Amino acid sequence: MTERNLKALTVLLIFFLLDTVKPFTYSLITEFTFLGVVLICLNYPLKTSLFFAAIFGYFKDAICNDTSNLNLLEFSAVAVLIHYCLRNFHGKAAKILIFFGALTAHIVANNFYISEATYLFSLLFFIHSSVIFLLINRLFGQWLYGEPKGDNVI
Amino acid sequence: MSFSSQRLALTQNSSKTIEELKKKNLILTLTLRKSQILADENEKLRKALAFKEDKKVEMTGVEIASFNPSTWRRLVIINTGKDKGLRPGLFAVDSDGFLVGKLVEVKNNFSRLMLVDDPEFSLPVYIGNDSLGLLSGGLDVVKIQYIDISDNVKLNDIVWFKTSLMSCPVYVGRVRKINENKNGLFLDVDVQLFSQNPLVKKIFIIK
Repeated sequence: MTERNLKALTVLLIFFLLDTVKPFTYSLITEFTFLGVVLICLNYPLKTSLFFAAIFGYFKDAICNDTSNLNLLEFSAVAVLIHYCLRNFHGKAAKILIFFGALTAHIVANNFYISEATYLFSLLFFIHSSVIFLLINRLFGQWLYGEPKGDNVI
Repeated sequence: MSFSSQRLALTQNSSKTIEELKKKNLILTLTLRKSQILADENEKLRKALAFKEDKKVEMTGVEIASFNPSTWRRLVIINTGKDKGLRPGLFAVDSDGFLVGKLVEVKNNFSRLMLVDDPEFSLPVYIGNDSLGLLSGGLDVVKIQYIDISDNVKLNDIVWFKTSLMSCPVYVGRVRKINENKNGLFLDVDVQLFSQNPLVKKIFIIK
């Protein structure tokens, strides 16, 4: 495993831990693992992204115990779709739109999973996740995929 | 020794003293914070003990070990299981005696607790004195469904429940909003829960 992949694994493990410990309990409405997977997909090759997406989707399913394989399928599909979009669209703006698209798909999938249309909660999830993703990208971007400051995803 | 070197030595001494005082200040602040946390915890345990003695119920104090990683579910894992006599279906309350959730899965030394605002949570409850309905959890709002339209439900009515095994009622929340159901047969009521954040409060399982 290369240093770059090891860094991605470390970041995803930290995010997964944050999701299970929830230091802000339910005041912060976001899923760090999902954001981490999207970040990796936007900046790593398809093979690596798909590998991490599947592994962490499986971890999440194993801990949730009641989702069958929802996260494994969703994260893998997100990885493939993000790379498909990245092949056709380029630039910062495209990456931002792809992130918003992935976030919206995640919200829709989870609304179906809980069989309930949650409007306020979904809106809060969207806002909190966008802000956290921006912060994660600023904080980890340079270390994770070595791009100069100000030139990463957002 | 010249005046300037004396002054320099004095400044260095002052800097050291300031550094030491800053360290002491930090240690004292942390100690004070720790004492405040312990005092808060003590207060909560006193409240729980008062609730236990007042209502004459058998309770077990538990702690949250971890949360379900999905934000779309309100499930927590607690550090106690069959080893302390827990079983599925038991209810959890906070230190004030307000409903927090119910046990859905119990293993040997850990259990899964479903919080009241989980989308799959449901429980028959009373509203006020004599109305009955089905409490359903939700991420946006916790609701009570299937209340007879002829029932006299008012805003701020207390929502509570009691099972045959309990000697006293357990309070859940109060009526926040009353809506008429689309089919016109029932009332749907939005509930403001009494218990809010599970992490900052001790959890107790009523046996």
